[in-house]
Amino acid sequence: MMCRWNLGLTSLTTIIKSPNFCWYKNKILIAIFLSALMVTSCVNDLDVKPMDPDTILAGNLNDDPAYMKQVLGKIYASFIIPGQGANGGADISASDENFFTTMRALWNLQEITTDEAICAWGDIGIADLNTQTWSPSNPFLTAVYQRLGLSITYANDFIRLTADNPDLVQFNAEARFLRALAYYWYIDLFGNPPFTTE
Amino acid sequence: MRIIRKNLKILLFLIAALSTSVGYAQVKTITGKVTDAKTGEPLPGATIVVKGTTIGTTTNFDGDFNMNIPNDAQTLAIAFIGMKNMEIEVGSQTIFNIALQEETFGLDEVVVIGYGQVKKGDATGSVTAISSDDFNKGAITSAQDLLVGKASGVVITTAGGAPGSGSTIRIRGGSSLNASNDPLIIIDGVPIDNNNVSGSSNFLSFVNPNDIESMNILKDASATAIYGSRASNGVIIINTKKGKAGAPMTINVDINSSIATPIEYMDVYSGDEMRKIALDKKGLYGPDSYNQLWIENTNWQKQIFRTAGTQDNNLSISGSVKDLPYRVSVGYTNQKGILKNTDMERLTGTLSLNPTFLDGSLKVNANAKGMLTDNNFGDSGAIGSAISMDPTKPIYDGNPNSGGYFQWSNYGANLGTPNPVEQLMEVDNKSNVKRFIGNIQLDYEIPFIPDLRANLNVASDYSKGEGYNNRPTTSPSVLTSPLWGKLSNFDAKNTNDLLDFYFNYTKDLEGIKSRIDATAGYSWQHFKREGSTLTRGVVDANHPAQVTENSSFITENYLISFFGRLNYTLANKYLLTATVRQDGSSRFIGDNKWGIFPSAAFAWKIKEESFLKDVKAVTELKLRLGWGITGQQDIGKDYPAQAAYILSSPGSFYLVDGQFLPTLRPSAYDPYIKWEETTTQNIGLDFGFVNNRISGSIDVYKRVTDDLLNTVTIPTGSNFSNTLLTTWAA
Repeated sequence: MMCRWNLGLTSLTTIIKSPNFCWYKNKILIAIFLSALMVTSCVNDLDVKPMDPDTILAGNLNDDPAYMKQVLGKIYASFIIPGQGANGGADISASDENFFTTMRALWNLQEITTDEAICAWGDIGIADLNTQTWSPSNPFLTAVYQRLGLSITYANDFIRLTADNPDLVQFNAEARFLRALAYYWYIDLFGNPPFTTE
Repeated sequence: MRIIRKNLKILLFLIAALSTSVGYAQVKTITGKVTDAKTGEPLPGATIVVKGTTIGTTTNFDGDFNMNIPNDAQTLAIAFIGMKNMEIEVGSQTIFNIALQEETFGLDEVVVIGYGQVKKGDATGSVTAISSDDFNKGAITSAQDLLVGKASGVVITTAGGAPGSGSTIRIRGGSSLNASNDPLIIIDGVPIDNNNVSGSSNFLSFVNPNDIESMNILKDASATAIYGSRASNGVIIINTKKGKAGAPMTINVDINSSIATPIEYMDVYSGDEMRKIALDKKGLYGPDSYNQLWIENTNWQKQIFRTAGTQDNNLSISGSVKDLPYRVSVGYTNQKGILKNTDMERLTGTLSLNPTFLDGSLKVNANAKGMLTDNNFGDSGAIGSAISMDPTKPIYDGNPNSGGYFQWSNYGANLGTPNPVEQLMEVDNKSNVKRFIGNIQLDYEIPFIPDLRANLNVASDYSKGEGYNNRPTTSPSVLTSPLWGKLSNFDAKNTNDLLDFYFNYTKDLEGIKSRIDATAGYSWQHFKREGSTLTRGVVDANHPAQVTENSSFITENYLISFFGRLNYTLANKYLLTATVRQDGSSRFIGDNKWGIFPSAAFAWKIKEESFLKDVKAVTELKLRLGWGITGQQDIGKDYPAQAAYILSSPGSFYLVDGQFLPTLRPSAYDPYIKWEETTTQNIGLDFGFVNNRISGSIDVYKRVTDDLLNTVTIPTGSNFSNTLLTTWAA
């Protein structure tokens, strides 16, 4: 099949062509040799790489200078866009990815809980915010906690990727700012969140 | 042709038989005795009938009989419960001494196990064999339905009954949380991919139920471990019918028609009842609620269901051209759903050739199976809508904006229940699926080493599905949102290849009353899936182009395995089976790629012991003990261990430097993810009493799954998502 049969066949012809070749005696040998060859070459099939052009292995990020810009773009996007669309789905698993983006959840938590706004829509978690009766299980709280943490993780990863690259100093600085912004909200909302820088 | 000829013979015979009895033809008297061939004892109460007539008698207490038969009677049929039926040519004889052979049920039956078969009496694992005689009969269009209720521990649940839809099979329940719980299904030696190609609703639909000869269900680990990597949830081995060498040509035609009708509807209020409630409870629902109701009495459920017919026609030809046994079959199924606008049309074809070469030492088994299916899925969401839709509203109100249908969206409620009739009838949701499975199996008895066989099996499984799911612009926005109208196309392709190679060595060692059956082999499998989806709105002057999904995927994985099995039988009483399998999966990386799955089983044929051998009441008694570990890697994702970045699809771009760019997101991954392992222990007792008239088996099992592959919520900041598919050790 796709396992380098041709290699096996070449070796076989070499054996058959050799002057000392005795068909019957060597038949078992050939069978064992052939199957051994087949086996060893096929085991390498287990080392696969993603085939989808939309998936870029971490080791290949330097192949295209545009990639780093796109990774940085993701940190910006993580505050407002729920995920990668049909390619990879939402960044976090939640009942409705669009419902629980950082900005939407942040606005709900910061504004609906005050006199500045009231939301009459009956969706889950909203009424609790209007009436100041939310609990730790409020889905907006979970979402903003997980999403801000995720933005920080993306930023940490990007800062590590660009740390030693003199061409990407500005990108690195932007990521540091975005991480600081996420921590600002994190601390504002949750007081003493876990602190990770790598 | 043969059928006609055969039928003609029977017809002539019947006419002859009829005319003799009418004409009071001459009779002769015959006498005789019916005995048991083994013991010589007379058999009282045996029946003797002149074949094709109602003339007959039974033997007396001494096994003797005498009766008058027509002079031209040709054949006597003798029957006695527990004995094989016998037919005797009458000829000129008048005295018949008939010795009947004991009929032994089940003892010579074989069960198919992984990479081979054993006599049922010699099986050490928990295996149930179901042959075509035992299958469910009737309007059956999918292979799963043949098995419903036929084997203990096998639960088959239908997925809603849409035409052609599949069923969920669970053998002894599920053993995984997030990984697949489907059993491994092997058809003519080809383990198939349980993943449906897009557009197909049943991964087994390519097998015509009429072509199936037998299904063998392997339940415990000692039976399944030889399939290690994919066998945690049991194995079903399906063998299709084959031609037999030297057999005459047989043509089989099956024509089945069936009718299905909904027998009960959900009990909902009629229009009149709604109006009465609104009037009576004005205080509760407000004075205005009655005015919202219209004058109709629409039974929405009756509007969407129907009585539907199914046609299932099959033609098969089998026989043998010289030494080449063959079987060809064609099947056509046209199944209409009881939900309107749903149907399935399927054409299946199979060809199998089983020639032998080199004086029988090379057996070839070539199979090709093809399928073409056209599905019309309709919209089963209409069932829910029909239950909640207002019965006081008409089906049609003539509104041109909604294509003449009544729709809430025209009356100020954009999120209202869509008109069920429009939802069902105006959708265009169809798919076309093609599938081909071909395999060639070569079994070669190596001439210079007696009792050694080499077996090579090469197979390819290709399926392709394409379809669309469209809605007109007159559909309500609740069905098409955020688009205006909806056009959705998809296509998908699965390509799976397989190569199995094994040696089998069987030897009777009479000096030590032993028998060895050893198998060692290698298996290579490749699964590749690809597909794309495009969903967009209808474009016109007021509605610019809008695309909600434009995506494609391509993914693959490999499984490579080395396996060995040793069956050791001592004195035909003690049976020992040991298997070991090493599996490698491309889904895992580094050392975690490989898993080793051993099993051992012991069976004791208590019946063969001297103290039971002569006890006639006990036909079979066997104790089985088994233990084994099986693996699981079917987690839906092919690269869960690799660090990778994923580009976002259109619709999820981000504005960077004045330009919309797809962003690159790091994916959550677990480099340490590894095989899930299920350990099964099984104790079984097979028994048969009174010539196997009462028989059965009792199995007790315990199954423990370790290193569960599970999607768990993880601490924020520890990986690139809030959940991770990982190996979860308790």
